[in-house]
Amino acid sequence: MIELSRRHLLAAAGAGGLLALTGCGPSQDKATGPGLVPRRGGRLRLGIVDGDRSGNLDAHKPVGLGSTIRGFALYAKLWEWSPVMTPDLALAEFAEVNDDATLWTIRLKPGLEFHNGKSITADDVIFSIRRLTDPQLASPYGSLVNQIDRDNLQRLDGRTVRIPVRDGQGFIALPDTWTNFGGIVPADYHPVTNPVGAGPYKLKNPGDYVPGQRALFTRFENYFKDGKPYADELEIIEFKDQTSRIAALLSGQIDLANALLPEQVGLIKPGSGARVLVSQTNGWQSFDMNTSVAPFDDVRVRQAFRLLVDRQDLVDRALLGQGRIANDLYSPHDPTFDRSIPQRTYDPAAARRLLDEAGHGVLKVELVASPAAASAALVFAEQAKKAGVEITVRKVDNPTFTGPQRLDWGFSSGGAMGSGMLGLSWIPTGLHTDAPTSAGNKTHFRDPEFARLFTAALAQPDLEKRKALVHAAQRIQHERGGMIIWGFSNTLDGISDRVGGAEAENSHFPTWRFDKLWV
Amino acid sequence: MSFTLPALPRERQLRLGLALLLGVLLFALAGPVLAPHAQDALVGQPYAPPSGAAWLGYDYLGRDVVSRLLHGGWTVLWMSLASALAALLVGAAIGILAGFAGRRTDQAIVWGTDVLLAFPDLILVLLVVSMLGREPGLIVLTVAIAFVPGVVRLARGVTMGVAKLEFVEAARLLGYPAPRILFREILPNIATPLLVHFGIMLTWAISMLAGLSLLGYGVAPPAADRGLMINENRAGLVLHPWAALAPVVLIGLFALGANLVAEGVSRLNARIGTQTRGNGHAG
Repeated sequence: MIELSRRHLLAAAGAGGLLALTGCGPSQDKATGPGLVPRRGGRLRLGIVDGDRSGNLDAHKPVGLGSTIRGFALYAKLWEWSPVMTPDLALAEFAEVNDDATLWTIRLKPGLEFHNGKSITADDVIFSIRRLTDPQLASPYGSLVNQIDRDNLQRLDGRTVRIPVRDGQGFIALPDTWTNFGGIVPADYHPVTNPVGAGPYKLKNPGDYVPGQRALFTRFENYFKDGKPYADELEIIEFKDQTSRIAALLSGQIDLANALLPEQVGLIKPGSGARVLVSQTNGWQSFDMNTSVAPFDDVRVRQAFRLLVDRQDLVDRALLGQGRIANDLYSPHDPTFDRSIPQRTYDPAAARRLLDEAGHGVLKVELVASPAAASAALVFAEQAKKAGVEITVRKVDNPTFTGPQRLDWGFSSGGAMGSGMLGLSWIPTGLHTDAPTSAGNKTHFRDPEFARLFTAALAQPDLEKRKALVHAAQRIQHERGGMIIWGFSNTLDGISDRVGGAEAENSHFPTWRFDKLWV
Repeated sequence: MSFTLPALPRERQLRLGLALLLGVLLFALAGPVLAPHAQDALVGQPYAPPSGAAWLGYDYLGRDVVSRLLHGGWTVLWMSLASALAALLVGAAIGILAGFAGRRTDQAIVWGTDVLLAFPDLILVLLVVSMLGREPGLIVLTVAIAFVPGVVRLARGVTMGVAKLEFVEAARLLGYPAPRILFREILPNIATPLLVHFGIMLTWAISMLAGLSLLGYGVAPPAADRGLMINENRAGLVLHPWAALAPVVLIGLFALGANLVAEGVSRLNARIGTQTRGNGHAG
């Protein structure tokens, strides 16, 4: 509390004085600092870049990233991500799929409560699933669990639910797809008038969420993890831009700043009162070739383009070194990932030969890029020149890029930069990218052998047997797929020296783990 | 109402403005020849600071900032000049017609310009560019359209003033055809305010085109456009200011030059007018 008082005094000071005073601050913070022993009390303040006045507190239909982050405070789920991004049981004490992949059985831990004191029961789980998948709600995240037969959910007892799954798709990793947007809420839930969940923090007062500005939460004393969370209050403050947010972090007005720009990492220097937490994620960066249109309907052209990518140069320039190279395959942390596939390297001469074989002299191609991917596209265009390939980068705004034409671009930037789920497990990721049944298949990859292997893997419960199928499928993706996956990006978080409990992980949300952070 | 060359050297603002514009022109023309690298060549580390090899360092992708500045001078120059010139020609023609023709034509034209004036310039341009694309020709056309109503209003006003003067009345009584009256009697006498307005429009066009690029609606990358360079490098502004500030300075100099010329022409015109009236009284 002494530190908070000091901070408030600092906040009242002028900007110049602020910087000078905070320059003296860290040594004191380190002396009394958070250390390794969690400390209770204080207010934890996270600064996010959002400012979206249409933001909300909806557990199942969050609008924008800010709403998803607030959801991590308000709502608990049946599973939660471990630091290495595997789903661990959270509210559930037991979850299992039957042998023919048609039925999940899930049992809640005993003695669970919502923020309003009501016990969490099987009925609440059923209500939450039905709400997430309700066509009236039209949550974009409902499709993540569209294999659930929502009309035949079964309550076995007060804590146990049976969830039937259509078409034997139960081996699709339900925890992987459900975790981020699977908040369990009571049957009288309303995202505006009654935003009740079982997360580590609850809304302090009904008026304490102002869309586009801030949200103030208070500790949920009966949180299902004993002794957590640690802070008395949590405040999530929305900023319009990165620059003002990083100034707020350095001047002590916020404690956490998620997803910093690589360009701004240098502003957080030793002794500045904050540090940068670097997390290696599975969020990939790609260029997606539409295999149903020329010239990418020719596998030789696809292979040539993959040889035209200098991956390390792209990581160094487009990600400013904050990432690692990829090998045209997603989900490297999946236990079924085939690590024996050789890393593809930059080889313009070999690419030229393939293009000559395919009958292309000077090949001219348009690459449609989202604003976030434009820099990578420009670097790639330069790299491709060495093989006589002229790539014209067409940068379009996000609504255009993700609009009705999103699946029909001939050649476009891609990736899973903002998603926690995509890129983790191979099968769910495939279902959202290039699998035969994917609704978001930008590459239109329809290889019959790949489809057969993917479908077989989907129905194979044994890990070792599934691994063999996935390996064969990944070799096809690597040899003739439509995605040029060139890198994985890091997540960079700014952490004040006042904050304890923040650790690097394989996710992009170390700063959203509100139950393990303290000040 | 016209000025003579010997008067030019006495207008310091005008001389300075012309010098700046000449510099900008030479920079644009000679820049691509002098540039050590291609505008999109990746030759250094991203955001590397100034050095002997790269006087203004490297930009966010590792491109030489000096080379991009040298390559990028022509875009803003031709686009702003073309926008302002097109607006001047079209606006002046319509405005003179409104001021000289009958009441009905005048009213129809005024209503039309009122509709266009109801849209803020930048919003109008953003709307069109976001709907129809970012082709340089389209951007020039749209910026010109945004400026036309202002020129129409100006040309109409000064034409109405001149059309009432005796020499125009005399030309009418002598039975001269309307085109001759417009081109021989009216146009020379409204040229100076239109030229001054052209200079002001040039400044606006420079700002608007740079603003469009800054907002991501201008010339497409990898062009070395000034506004685009600011946009691309602004994330690193605090730690690596060169790549973003250098184009700001050059845009500023160009806009300053255009503004000084407009201001100089205006002052020159006022001074010559005073001298002319003074000579008349003396005579």
